Amino acid sequence: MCPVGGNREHELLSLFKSKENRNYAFNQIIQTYQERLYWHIRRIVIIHDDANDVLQNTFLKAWTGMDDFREASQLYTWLYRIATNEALSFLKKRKKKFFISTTDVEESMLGTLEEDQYFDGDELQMKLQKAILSLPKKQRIVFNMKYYDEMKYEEMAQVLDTSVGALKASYHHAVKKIEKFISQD
Amino acid sequence: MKDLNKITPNLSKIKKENPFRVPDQYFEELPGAIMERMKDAKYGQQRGYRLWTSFRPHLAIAATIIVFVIISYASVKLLFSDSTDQEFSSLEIAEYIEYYSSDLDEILFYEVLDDIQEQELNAADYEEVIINYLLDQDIDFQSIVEVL
Repeated sequence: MCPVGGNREHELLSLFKSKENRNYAFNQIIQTYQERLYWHIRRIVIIHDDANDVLQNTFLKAWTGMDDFREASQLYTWLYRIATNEALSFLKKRKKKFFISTTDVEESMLGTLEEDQYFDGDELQMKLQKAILSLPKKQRIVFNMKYYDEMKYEEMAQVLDTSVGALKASYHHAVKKIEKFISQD
Repeated sequence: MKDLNKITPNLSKIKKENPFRVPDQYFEELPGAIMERMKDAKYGQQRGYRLWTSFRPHLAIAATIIVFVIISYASVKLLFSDSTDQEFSSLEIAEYIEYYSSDLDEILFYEVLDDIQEQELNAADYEEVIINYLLDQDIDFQSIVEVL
């Protein structure tokens, strides 16, 4: 994920601070980050409708928390963090709602993926998605952020609040597990 | 990437592209949908705030009236309270009657007892009254004595 230039971010945040341009600025923020955040969320929750709900909640949370946002971190890192937390708490809620274990959540996601009308991948890509779903939740997020979004470890560390070393180890383990999964049968 | 190819030959064979897709026009319509939800959320907050601010004076007046009525009622009740105005439950009344009726019986008992004692004390006087009564009725005194 390539962050939007610092100047652009600063410009959007300055616009947001003035009351007259608040809505316009936020609309611009949505348009700038919606796709990247959507794909990040979609890879976690798999189903489009769920991803849509989580993404909308992410932006609503961002809207309410924007006044407290300190420019110490980058806006896109902050949004990414909200999106990750929202997606994880969505999965947790679903687990609680249906009284199912984490493994069953993953199994039901797999079932949904196989019938998903918005999945266009071939057999190998389906196998890769199954392999990713077999990973523990955090490892799955780390893998997706590195493999698909091509984020730097330093940026990932800011989003996930984890050390770079731990992230490197996590990604390494994830890759090995996925390779093993794919090479089976 | 070269390292990844070495470690993961099978993973490297898979095309690194996004297999998911979204409904048509999804990203074009999303900002509008989010802004709409934000408007609803803001409207909800503002509506709640407006309702509260518009009803606040009325609520204050209503609260003042209620407090005034309660204080007045309590004052009147305190100043003009009458101990005879007490209300009793049926159980209390039953106990009351039972208590006083038993008292009444006792009083009656002592009254009767006093009368009896008085009668005993004046028995001689009563005999005379009886004899006089019988005489008045022309009853033969001798025959009475014989019967007795």
